[in-house]
Amino acid sequence: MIEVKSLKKHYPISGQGWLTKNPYVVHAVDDVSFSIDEGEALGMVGESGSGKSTIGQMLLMQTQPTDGEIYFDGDRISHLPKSETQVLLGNIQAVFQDPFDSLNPRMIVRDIIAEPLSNMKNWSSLQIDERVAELIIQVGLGKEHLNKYPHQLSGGQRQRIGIARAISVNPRFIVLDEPVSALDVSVQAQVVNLLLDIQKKNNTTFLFISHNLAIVEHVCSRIIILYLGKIVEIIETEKLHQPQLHPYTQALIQSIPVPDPTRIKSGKALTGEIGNGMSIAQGCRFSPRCPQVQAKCLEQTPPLIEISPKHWMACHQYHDF
Amino acid sequence: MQTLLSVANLQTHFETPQGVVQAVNDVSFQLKKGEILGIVGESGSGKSVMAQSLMRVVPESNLSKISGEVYFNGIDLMTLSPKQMQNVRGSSIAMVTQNPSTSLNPVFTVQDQLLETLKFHPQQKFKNPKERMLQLMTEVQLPSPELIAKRYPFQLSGGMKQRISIAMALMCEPELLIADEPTTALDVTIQAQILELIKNIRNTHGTSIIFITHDLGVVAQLCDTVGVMYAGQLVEYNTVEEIFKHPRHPYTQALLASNPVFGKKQTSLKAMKGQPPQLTQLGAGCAFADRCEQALPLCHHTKTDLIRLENHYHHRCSIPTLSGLPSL
Amino acid sequence: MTLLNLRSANLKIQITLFVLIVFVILGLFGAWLAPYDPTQQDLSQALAPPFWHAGGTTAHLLGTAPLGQDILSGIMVGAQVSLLVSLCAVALSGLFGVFIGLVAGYRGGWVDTVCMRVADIQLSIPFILLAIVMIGAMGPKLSNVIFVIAVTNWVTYAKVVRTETMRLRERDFVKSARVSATPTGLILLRHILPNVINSIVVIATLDIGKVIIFESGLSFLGLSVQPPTPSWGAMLADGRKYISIAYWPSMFPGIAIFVVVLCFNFLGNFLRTIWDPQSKH
Repeated sequence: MIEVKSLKKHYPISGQGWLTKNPYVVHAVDDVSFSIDEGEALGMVGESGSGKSTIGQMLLMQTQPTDGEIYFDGDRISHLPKSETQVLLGNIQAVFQDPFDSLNPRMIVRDIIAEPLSNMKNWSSLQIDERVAELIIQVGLGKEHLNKYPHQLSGGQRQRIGIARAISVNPRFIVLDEPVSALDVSVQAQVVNLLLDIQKKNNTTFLFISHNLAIVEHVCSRIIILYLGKIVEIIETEKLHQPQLHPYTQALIQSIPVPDPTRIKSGKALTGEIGNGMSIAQGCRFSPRCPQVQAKCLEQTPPLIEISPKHWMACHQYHDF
Repeated sequence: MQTLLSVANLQTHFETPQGVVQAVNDVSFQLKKGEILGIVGESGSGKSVMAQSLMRVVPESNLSKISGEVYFNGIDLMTLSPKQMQNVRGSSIAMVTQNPSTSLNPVFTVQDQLLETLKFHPQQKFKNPKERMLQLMTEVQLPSPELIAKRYPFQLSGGMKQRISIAMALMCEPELLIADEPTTALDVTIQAQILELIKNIRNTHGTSIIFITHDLGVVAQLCDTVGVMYAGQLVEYNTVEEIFKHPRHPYTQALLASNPVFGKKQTSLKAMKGQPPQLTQLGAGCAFADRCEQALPLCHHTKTDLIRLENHYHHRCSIPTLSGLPSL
Repeated sequence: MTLLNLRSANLKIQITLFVLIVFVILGLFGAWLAPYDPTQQDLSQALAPPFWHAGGTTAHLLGTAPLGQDILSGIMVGAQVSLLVSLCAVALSGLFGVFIGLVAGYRGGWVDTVCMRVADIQLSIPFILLAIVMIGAMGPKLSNVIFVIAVTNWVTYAKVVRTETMRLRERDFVKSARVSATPTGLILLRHILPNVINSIVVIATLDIGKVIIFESGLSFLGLSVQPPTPSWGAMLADGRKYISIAYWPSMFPGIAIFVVVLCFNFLGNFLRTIWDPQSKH
């Protein structure tokens, strides 16, 4: 359903003047290609600077790629004029991270949920109200919440409103950018269950962006792992526990604190800082921190290769198999 | 091992237009030298206010009451004068907060801020303050300490800033370090480094640590004892093994059950119903009753019992038989 | 809180609103309510003190001006000029400034650059100089005075609204509105504007006071409405020469200006509070 080809997003660093040549560019997303099947829940995992949010923004047509194309059902959706993207948004929606920021504090809940409907459908006021009433129940809240302001609701409740708004127009594809990261732990599970419910019921395609591997493993069938703007691995979730993994993926898994005091992880954590997408030396971006680095890694960028069915990796050591 | 900190019946109340908020409601625990205590809680649990109460840095504007006993090395901190407390803060007890961007002043260099801590605690006689500073910066694994010392906070990453906050806290060799969600805003690989660092600090210097977090995984990996806070109360307090193996309070049980664990995929997460409570709308009974799967009618209007175990460990519940152990 | 809840508002607000309502009534109906025609001279009563002094009469409660005009009437009728000029000038400059600020802040790029440079140029021209030139060229009519003040005053609104718009543009709820296919105009109207209204109200209410003083200043310099039309500023000016022997021709118009400006400031604070959804609960 979604095809992303050689997507690039570069940001030039400003402040160099009109006349001097600007050598500094941030490679936020650098040559990313992948596809998403209809009805699939694809996870996208990465830390700061990985580019995962930028990819999300481009899929939502809110930012234009510097290079590369995005296709939805075979039609190109990148580099389109605003008049066309407005129509396409009926099929592509988003759930945002911060429940305390993603709702207009001066709008009541009913209007917040109805906004996509009133923008994109030619429905009467009555029809919209009916749909809104349906939606608020679907997300586990009650009609009494419709006349409230966001600040009267808790974080979990606000996030449900955000979800109701996103599904109001029945989109086929939803980009979820860290949808539960800002919620209390006791509420995260509720919202995750709600999302899974919605996905199954409507066969909606999800792109679930998160830094939390445990939740991504729970929700998604396939995961893309990003590092500094490049894909380092694409793997099915159930295969995350076998030894042939990208060193960065291994490090991520190693870094997750296990809630079991009898299994204390000893051994060194991954050293070094993540760095920024600016001074990209030649070679693999992970090489400065990679515990398995070899000379070749510093000179050549490893290509993304399918090392076994549905398992892609960008690493020289597996490439040479 | 010697007891460093002994907290008894700590209460911190605030006055709000909606009534009195008992942000910290009768909290008691002990901390030995070199022990790491994890305080787990969500919004409204009171964990941050409790940390501030120990150091007596609670914002005064709405404060209506702060009482209880906080014995630190045998002296009740609650009885100290502001000036005496000022000497304790920073030198004997230090704090690291969640957002290093707010604890570091953007207009001063790293060096200025680190050395400043020594200026205010002249009783810490280090022969060469600069040397001490560089030594600590190396200990917190900052690369090229000499260069970083001259930088400004905005030039550094989140992980580096947090290391500097930790270095700042350690400058005067405190016996107790209170860390309030120090890794929540950091990437997971950086978090792992910081947690390792904190363990090393305890192992090398014997510093006691109170580590506040909402992440159960961090607690399991780092802490010796755990206190679970809910609506201002310490609802369960025990060793880390007991908390994870035999959780006694229904909230702890539900929290553990709803936490997605990497490697253990379930068909659906066992979610807790409802949301964290509003402290202005607490009833007469147990604050967790609305969300508790095991609640009985009496839970909604009877105050919970304090069920004591050995070594000051305890939990609070109106139905002790259901939560595993009989009351003593 | 609707207007019907005025009774439950506190005393300060009640007094403020009362004073302002009186001010508006005077502004609209002053000519009919005043005991005398303020332009009418009565040299036999020149510089009569207010009634509580020796030599004062209740015929002229606040005393008379140098040529025998009744001061109370002057204040009542002069309110019209102050009211008209302040409300119209603030409305004009506010509307224009907010519009420019929204567009420049949201669009950014060259639109923003052009708008802000124009604003900077505007700011660099001294107000008094501009007033002298424009009034001198176009004549001291009320409408020209309003125009001159509006032309200089819009910049503050533009700059403040622009900065706030740039901040709001990146907030999640605005991003969410874009993803919901909300057209730009509606985004500005429904999402950005209501969240900058606080700042605008504060500036506007402070501005009304400021403009009344501006007008008084222009009047003082002879650049505003000319006699015989009474204005508080002109009254202040006229009374200046006699201040050592008679305080009342300058003082009472001065007090009128002070009270009205203060009340508008309180009104601004009040409006900000009642329009903020969070303070209602």
